Amino acid sequence: MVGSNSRTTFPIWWIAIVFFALAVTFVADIWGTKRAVIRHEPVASRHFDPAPVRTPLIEPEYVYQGKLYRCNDCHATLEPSTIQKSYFSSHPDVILEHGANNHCQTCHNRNNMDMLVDLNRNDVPFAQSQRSCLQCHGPIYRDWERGLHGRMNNYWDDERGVVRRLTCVACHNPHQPVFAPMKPAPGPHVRQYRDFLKSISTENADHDG
Amino acid sequence: MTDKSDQHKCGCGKNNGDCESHRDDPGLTPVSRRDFLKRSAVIGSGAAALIAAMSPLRLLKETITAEEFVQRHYKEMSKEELDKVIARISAKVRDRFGVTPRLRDVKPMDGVEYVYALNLSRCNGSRRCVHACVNENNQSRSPEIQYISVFKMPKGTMDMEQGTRHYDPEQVPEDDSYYLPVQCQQCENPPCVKACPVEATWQEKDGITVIDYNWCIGCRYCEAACPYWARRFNFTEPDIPKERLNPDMAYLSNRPRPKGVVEKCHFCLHRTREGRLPACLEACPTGARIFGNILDPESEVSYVLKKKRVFILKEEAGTLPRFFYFFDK
Amino acid sequence: MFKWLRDYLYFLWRCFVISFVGEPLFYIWMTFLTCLALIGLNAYCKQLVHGLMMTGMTDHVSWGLYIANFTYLVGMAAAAVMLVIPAYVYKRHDVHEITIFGELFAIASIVMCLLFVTVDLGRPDRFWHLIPGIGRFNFPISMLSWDVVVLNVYLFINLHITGYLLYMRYLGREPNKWLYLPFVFLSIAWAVSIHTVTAFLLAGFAARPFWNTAVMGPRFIASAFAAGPAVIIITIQLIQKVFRYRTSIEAIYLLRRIVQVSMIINMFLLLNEVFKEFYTDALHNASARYLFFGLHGHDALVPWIWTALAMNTVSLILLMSPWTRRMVPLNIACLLLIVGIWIEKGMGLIVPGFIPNPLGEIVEYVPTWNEILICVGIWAVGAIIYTILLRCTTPILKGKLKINLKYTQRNVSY
Repeated sequence: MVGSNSRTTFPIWWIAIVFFALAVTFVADIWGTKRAVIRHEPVASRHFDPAPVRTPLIEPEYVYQGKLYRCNDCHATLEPSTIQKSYFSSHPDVILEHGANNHCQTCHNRNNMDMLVDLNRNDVPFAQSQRSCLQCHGPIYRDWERGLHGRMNNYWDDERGVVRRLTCVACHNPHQPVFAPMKPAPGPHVRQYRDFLKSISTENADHDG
Repeated sequence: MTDKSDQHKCGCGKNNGDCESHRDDPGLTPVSRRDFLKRSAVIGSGAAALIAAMSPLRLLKETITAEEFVQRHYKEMSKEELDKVIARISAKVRDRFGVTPRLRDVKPMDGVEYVYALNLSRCNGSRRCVHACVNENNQSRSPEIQYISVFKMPKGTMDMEQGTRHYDPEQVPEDDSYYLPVQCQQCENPPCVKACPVEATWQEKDGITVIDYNWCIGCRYCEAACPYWARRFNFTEPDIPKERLNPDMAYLSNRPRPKGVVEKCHFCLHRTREGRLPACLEACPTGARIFGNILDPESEVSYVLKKKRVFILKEEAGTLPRFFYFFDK
Repeated sequence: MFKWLRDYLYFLWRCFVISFVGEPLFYIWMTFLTCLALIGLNAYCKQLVHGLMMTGMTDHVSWGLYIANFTYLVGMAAAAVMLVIPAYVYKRHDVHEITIFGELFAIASIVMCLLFVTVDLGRPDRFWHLIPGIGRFNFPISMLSWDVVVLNVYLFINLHITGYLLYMRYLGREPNKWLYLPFVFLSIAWAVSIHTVTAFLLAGFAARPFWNTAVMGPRFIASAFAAGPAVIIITIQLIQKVFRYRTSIEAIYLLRRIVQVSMIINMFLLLNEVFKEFYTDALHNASARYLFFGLHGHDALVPWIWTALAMNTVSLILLMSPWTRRMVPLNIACLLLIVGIWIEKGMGLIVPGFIPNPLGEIVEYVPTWNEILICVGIWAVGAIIYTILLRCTTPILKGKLKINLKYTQRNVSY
């Protein structure tokens, strides 16, 4: 070690130089990582639209070649087919895939096509179509009545607002009642370690949950 | 701050490290001009390095006002204090998003305890709930924060490790899978509340575990304690597109969160405490989600718990969740 | 009237001045550390501005390098007790004279611990929420609040003991036993408690089966009592060389014995843990499988843990052999052990607890440069503190720095 003459031989200036050089590196911002957030575009609003998957028919109306008809407009004179789906010449969009229930008149009143029917052949208005459904789907109807099957909207507390319970046909197409598969909304973003390693020197994790 | 002149004078040679013992007072000894210059240079460059090192702070956007700094815990604030805080936060939101929010404090209702039930037979993994939640609760889009994780599970197992959140087929549901959405289970015995060192998170009387975002210190201990991976941390200032801001806000729920605090699902308390249904439920296309008041024996959830074989996730963790799952066919 | 206060303030002033005086090596060392500390500060300022996104942590792995270092350093702080017990309980005089270096090391370690916790906070501006009385302290429910209490109390106990003894030495007076011995014995219990509480901090939750194990506490203590004395063995030799402060070789041999025994226990407990995880082979061993063998192709920690195990095993074999009665092999064994336990207890314990996450998802963790620089900066601050403490302590112990009678009798004010 340097002895008594340390004052003359030990250059304290270099400490100042080191600190100054360090200050320059800070100004030049060479240490550590830069801020880097991967931008994600907000998802399209259809991915969280609370509207049900179908718009059910509340009135017995039918659009044919751009014009709106009541069912009886045609069926007052036109006898509806009694048999299978292949004969539905005027209803190309109706494909009946309702299990064993493969006749129109099981649900539609063939004497008054503006009405649905139950098994006792009582009229059921279109707006209350669930009364037809419950004939066969008793347990599901019971669950639906108690709010267990199907979806509710608006309020859970009936003292504060209207509890809106969606009917069967808001989700199920009565002619093809199996709930239609759908395209899932975009999934979460997570960058994995291996991609991350490639960029470790310049970027930080993107922290997507 | 070196004092070489003394060492030189005392001449204690190799022991110069200890030579102070010879001196009267090192601070009072007059220094030569040369030493003074040297010292000044070291102190000056040291100060320059210190200031330069701290220069990134100039980019600090949000400055914390004295008012914010001394703000007290939610439970300790009087009505007037809380109103002031709410006015201040509203003004901040207006400045940042250009929207005047309907920000208020919603208290729990009497005689209400919320329970969620989820019908796994119906869930089709469409992730509508995830995005409805993000939109309703003003979650950060980048980095991405989502409260609900939907897992695609192979049929025949409940082992979460075999599931994945990353699925993107053309159509869901897929034949070989079922889907398991997980969010905050609003436990009756919440480990996260136990963990928090500053009581920034607590369980309210309607069963919702809430966070005071102005009290959380961001230690993330609750995140480590949660067995459902329900908590999220704001690793940076959350990014919410202006046009997507939901102005319907409550202090304890979906107001925009500051950087560095933890957040999580709160059963949309700004909606549910006013009688409305949570956003995730309203967006569910299949009606798999059922929500209500368990203290009301006529409610939907009471019926589910009575009539269905429900189960809870990670029962062995002893957390007593208020979130029940069941299969229905 | 205020003579005692004036004397004490003058003592502090002299310590302050002496901290800036030394041999060239001292300047080089301190400048080097100051530079590292400033670089760390620079990185921390960036983290303050942009948030913890500057780190490699995510919601999946929400604790990383900071808490890993914190856990390790709590052990370092607790290890001072391994000098206190032989000195005060077994009256080993050769150890007595180096005990103070252990206590000073504990002070530096605790300061580093507190810094590591601070940089891990998302809202450091709200630190006052943690202060009992002013804030809202979730005591005794939260283990983290326990940790805050025990760490700070331990810091004050050690500051008191070392400060009191040194000041008495400076004054040339015999220390009053009643003023420090009770604290010495309190510090023994307290040292064990700080590390136990830190173990409970991790072990207390069902969410993380990897941590939720009863041997966590004993493992922490055993590894700390191995790594801590190992560090002290090396520091004592450095103090001998740099500050020319003589210590007996017997004290080092005693420390070697302590490290030996602790290391055997540590390896034994690790074996227990490994057996329980892999022989049972239930689902809860996912984190252990990830750590030791990798899980579904994710294996970032596998090379680390096997390196650590190799280092620990080699150092244990070295320590058991008579070789390490010589200093060079002993130092090699100690270094291997210090690094091995740092990996095993830091990265090897904190990080796999989060992988896979409670919902079974695997997202790996790798620290960013910013995070590493902050850690380096904090270690540098700890080294600065320890160096300064030693710089002031050794002259006092050697009797070179003591109260100047002529001066105290003079009636001057300054």
